[in-house]
Amino acid sequence: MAGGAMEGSAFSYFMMSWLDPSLLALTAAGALAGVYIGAIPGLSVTMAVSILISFTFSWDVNEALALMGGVFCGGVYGGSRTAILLNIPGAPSAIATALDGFPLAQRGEAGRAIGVSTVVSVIGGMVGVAALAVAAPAISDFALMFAPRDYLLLAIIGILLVGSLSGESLAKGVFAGALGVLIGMVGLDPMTAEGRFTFGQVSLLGGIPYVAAMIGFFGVAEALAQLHHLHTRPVRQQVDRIVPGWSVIRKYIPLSLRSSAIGVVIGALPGTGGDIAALMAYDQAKRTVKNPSRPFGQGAYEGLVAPESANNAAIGGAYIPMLTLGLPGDAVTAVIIGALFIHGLKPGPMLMIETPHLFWFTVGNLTLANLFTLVFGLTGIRVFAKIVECPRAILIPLIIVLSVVGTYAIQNSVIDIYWMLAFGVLGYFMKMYGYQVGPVILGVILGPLMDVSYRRAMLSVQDDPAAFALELVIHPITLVLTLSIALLLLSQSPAWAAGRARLARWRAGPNGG
Amino acid sequence: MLEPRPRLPGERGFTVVLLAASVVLLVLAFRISGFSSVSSAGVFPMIAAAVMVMSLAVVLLHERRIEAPIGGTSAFFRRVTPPVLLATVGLMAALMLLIEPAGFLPAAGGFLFVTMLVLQGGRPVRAAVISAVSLAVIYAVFRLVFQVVLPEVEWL
Repeated sequence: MAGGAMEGSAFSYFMMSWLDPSLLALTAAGALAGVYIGAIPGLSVTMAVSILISFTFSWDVNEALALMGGVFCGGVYGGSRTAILLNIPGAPSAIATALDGFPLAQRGEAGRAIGVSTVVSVIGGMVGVAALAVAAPAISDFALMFAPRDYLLLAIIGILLVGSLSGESLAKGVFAGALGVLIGMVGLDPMTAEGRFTFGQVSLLGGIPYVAAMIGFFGVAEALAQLHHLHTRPVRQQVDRIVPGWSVIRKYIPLSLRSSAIGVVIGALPGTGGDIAALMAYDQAKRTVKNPSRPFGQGAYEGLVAPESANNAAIGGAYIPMLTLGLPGDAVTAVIIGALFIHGLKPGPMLMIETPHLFWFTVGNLTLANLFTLVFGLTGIRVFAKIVECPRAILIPLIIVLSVVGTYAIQNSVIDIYWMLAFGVLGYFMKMYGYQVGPVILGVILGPLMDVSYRRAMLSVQDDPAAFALELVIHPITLVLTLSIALLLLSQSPAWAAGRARLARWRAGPNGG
Repeated sequence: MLEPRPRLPGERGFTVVLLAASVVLLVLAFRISGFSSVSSAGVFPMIAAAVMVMSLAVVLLHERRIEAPIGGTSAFFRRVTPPVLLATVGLMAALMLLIEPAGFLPAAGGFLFVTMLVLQGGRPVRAAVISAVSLAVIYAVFRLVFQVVLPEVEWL
């Protein structure tokens, strides 16, 4: 990436969405739509981006990415609005925001809370994009040294992370990931053209369309789950002036930057996204801020600044493994990887070398999307308050019709709609019984990569399992990844929990009883 | 890690169904290429299916330790599959069956109207107006702007 000519062209790629009117308009439209999608309980960014793939696959890739980037940035921010105003997080990444956001609104400070959350969200978003711009080229160069076995291990880490951090049990998370891998295996084997789980059906030779799976698990399943909250009435709050003063912002910048750093790191771990980043940043703020504006949980601005900075910073972080390794940083980037595949692109270290314009375009576009989020975040609050109170009795049928349209649009096939319904119903029961659907989609996307990586790794050692096992520990990069997996599994074991409890008792000493 | 929650009605049955399906998938995966080679087409599906079986066995063991929910089948239909859910899934199935023979507009319009009617418990005029307006917007945005092909029939 070095060299003056390259840097010059990188800058022009960066500015592409700023200077092209149609890309500028699509980014703005995406950010505006994202703020509302993220805010309306029942609509999620993942759901919206899944449905958008099917409508934008015939577009130019830059246009599709501009719209999705806008929706992603606006959507992660938008969840905070309903968390503050209605005490209903519009998105999972805003769960931590509601803890102090709603008490602030109850104290009559809803406008100020929205203003602060908007500005720190944009600060977090910008830190995330800066991290993407700096880290991705370096990681990409490093990733060229990765062997197939390393990709296999990285994918396993991704599924284990999302399974262990976001669900109620590791076993359920692992099951969901393996189910996704199996769904991704359906169709002709890419190496030998043997049929796998095709049951002699021609329609299954090409595999199960992953967009149908995404829309089913994220769109229909969520819509069905929302039926349990059909009559939940939001508690509406009055909103006064929302643009915060500079002195207020300056006070929270250090915490915002610290939380953004957490967001970038958590977002960049394959499989973990803004929801986990926000909860971890909130927890970190609670433990480290000595004199909060009020006690945490009772309307502390620090409890708003930390999660909102972190979940938006996680966006840039999540793009890092997606663009450099082809591994999704979270559920939304898993869906965006699907979009890149549809446009004939293969995310991974070679993407940065073969299509550097796409990388710098993404960086420029996310920067622009953050600025639009700032504009739309600080305006239009009265219209917003009306729209987000749309009853679920209207919203749920609309989500289902949009899901049907989106699924049918992929290849004009009713069979895809049947798949979508089946995955939607399965996803509903999984959600009800504590299984996360995120690992399923990660598995669907990562399954084929894991399969091919595993077999290439095996072929490289002449199908000798002992040699394969040895490879896992004699190469430095592979050893680090193998140890990470071992640590992840160990940290979920009962023995680890017992050890931690014993350590805590020992630390407490005689005072702790 | 979240606090353990009480078991929901039907939770253990769901795990057993998933476990049985996973065992079937493991057998099907074995049939792809058996143990012919460690890098054959069937190995990774077998690994994935085996992981599913093992993780569900762990889930099942864990569920045994949690107190069984009270209320039996009626609790399952009340808490997990309430009538409104069954009605919505039934209407979705009807939409899918009718979308090609009847065309997108009548099928989706009918689905929106009836589902809104069911979910809001009446108010047909409101349901009719909202479904007509939203269908017009969906059609204009996706058919005319995004140029998405939607099922249509000759008589429309």
